[in-house]
Amino acid sequence: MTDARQPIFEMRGASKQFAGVTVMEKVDLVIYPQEIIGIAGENGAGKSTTLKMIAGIHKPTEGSMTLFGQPYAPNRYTDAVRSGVSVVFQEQALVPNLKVYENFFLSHETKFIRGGLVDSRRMIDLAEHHLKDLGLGHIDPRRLTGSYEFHDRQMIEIAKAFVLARFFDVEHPIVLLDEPTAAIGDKEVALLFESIRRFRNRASFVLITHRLAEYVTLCDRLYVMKDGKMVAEMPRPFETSRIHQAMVGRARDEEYYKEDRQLTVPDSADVVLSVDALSGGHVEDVSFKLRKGEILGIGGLVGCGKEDVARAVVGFEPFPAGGTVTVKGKPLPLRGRNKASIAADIGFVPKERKTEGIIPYLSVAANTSLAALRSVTAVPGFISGARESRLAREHIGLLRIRTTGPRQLLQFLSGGNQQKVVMAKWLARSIDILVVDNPTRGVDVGAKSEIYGLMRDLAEKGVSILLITDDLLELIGLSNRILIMRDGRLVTERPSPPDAKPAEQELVGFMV
Amino acid sequence: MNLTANLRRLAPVLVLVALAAVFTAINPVYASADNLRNILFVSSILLVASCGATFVIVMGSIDLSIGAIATLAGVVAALVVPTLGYGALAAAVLVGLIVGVANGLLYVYLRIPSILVTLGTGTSLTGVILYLSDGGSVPIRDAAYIAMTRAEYIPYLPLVIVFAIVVYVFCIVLADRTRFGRMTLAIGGDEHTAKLVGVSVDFVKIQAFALSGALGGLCGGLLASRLGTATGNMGEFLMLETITAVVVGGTAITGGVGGVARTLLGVLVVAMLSNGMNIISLHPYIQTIVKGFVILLAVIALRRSPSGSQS
Repeated sequence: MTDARQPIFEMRGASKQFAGVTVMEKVDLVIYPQEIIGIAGENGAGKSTTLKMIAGIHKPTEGSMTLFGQPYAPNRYTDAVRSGVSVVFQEQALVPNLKVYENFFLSHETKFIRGGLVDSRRMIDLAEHHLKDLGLGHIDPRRLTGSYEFHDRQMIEIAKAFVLARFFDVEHPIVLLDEPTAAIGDKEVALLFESIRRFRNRASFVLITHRLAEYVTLCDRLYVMKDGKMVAEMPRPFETSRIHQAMVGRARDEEYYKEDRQLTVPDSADVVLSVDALSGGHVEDVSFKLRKGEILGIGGLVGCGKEDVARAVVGFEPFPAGGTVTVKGKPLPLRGRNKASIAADIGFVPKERKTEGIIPYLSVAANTSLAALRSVTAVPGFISGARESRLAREHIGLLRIRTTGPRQLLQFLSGGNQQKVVMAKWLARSIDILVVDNPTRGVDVGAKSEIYGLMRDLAEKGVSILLITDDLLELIGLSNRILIMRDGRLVTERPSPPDAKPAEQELVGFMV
Repeated sequence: MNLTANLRRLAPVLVLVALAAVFTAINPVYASADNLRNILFVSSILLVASCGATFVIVMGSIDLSIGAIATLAGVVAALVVPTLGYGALAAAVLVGLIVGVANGLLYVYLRIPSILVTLGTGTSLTGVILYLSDGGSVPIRDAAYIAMTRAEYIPYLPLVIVFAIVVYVFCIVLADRTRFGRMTLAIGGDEHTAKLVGVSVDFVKIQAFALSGALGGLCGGLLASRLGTATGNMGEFLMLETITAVVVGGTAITGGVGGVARTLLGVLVVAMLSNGMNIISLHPYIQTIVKGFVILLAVIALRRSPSGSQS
């Protein structure tokens, strides 16, 4: 019945390649007036790229778009805004120390010039008029944006989309919602959705979110993407189970994850790490054991608490404080846990490589020896340049780090090679346990495969690995055993032997 | 490494050579043994203070109180020379150390930006100095203490130059060969990463400010000996000149890049420039203008350098 109406936006056969890698392949998508649609998919499925293409941030390599019946080929985001397309960003694109009306018209001030000066009076009037019109009369355009709560700031962003659309003579704008609920609690989500429903008679919305349930609650129609392709389009009513069946089921390349090299770890193997009744923040009662030589994977949606478990093990503040973390029979203290964890031979490859893993201005050698300075001293207390270079060269060879040599600054290495240096930093200390949080994030395909090989090497040497990852295939392919978390709790444990790996669908069933 | 990168690394050396050539061409006196020794003499005092300042700057912090520390230490030294003799120099170092530790503690535990902490302590110290010196200067009557910096146990090398060389070498070893030195660089490069490999970031910060303070104090004790008196503003020039020397040497004001070894070049550029402009009788006002431009040029050069740019 939607077909009877005229679409306001159409995307036909849109493809996108980044450096030869196809991230969107022949994607078709239409938006009707007064409609809320969703685009679902795993990480890397292409939903974010699709959204950015509508917003003019990425240009299609192939294919075309039309908006309100006209060809639509924005060169940048501001072109999209002028045509009536706005994005409400996850990390909020408002300047907190500007007033609400100043944020509304930021970068459009020239349209308000009168006698050489910006006519703020007219800006304020216009802002006030639109806020009242949208039922947001409680927001004072003259107040500082930062003085409003998160929910109101989100409303200000949405209002901005309407204000600018009207300002550029667009009757019915399209508002793109890029993970608007990623950082907010249930109450704010409910408020946001209520408001979006209220605005729907004057705009169309496109939603991207990590929580499938939100598509079910809010959307009229849902697109599902997988590996850059549009694989399903479903009308209301939909069920989460059907959505994730469409999302997952990707082919997994066993060789890529070196599954033939996976060790069998018997239950009788030594327990090197034991987490008991870990609680705090939104983590509740998480307990598990990690055995010698085992790769234990923890999966779950973004925000399920799996990163907090890693933080508690390595003492990266803030971390859940309740419960105990025991390493080789000794509990780690609450105060100074980071140092105690390192002293207990635990290494940590953090998620944010650039700000938590490497020091870009230091050389490969200095980054490699960072946690192992004691091993490169000849006279106690004094670093020996020769020993440090030797340590670096050893690891450059071992990990096949592509660099001009130990003295090259880390900032000139590719993401994958930087990540190998982060791992080298811990290998240089001879660790027993390695905690890795999304070890292949922002790493190219070739380096990924090498990092997987390296993790197998470590396991063969008896190192135990706690793997936290958002990448389901990586989780399944690498782990000996998989734990799934949901809303801060462990919901299932599933062995993952090479000959009987779980399917993505099976795990997703526990995640959502 | 390509040619331009090499050129950039050598830039401060080339500047030194160019300065010497230009000044000598205008007035040959510049290259005389007496004048060169004079340049080294002036450089020595600045080098001692700049070495300490480098550790602070490489960490991404700054010490604006260094001039006040030197002045206070000089005044204290002048006051205690009658009772302690050469021991006054140790007293100067101790005064600097105490202020440095206080700077570090305020910076770390109250989480006040270092620029504000040291601006505050520096200003307060100026008041303490006025009180101690009664608004004037404290003359030193101990001839031995005054002769100390000029004594030439090694021909042509006054003791103050020997002091500076010892401090310089000590600081290079500290910077390049110890955990402390490496961690100041790491903190300046990325504090988070440093923390996650188990560095006691707070402790390293306090140590760096303590070192900067102690060397500032030593500098004050030496200045008092050289001048034969301690005046209420004798260290004032150090605040800007240490920062200039460190930055001209090639240490990034934002931290993470550079080191003590290079600071010597910056010190020499500053000293040779001041001395040369005097020798060729450049108007003092113009001298100040030139000095300002030198800072700007150094910052621009550093920004373009590969180590300072974003990948």
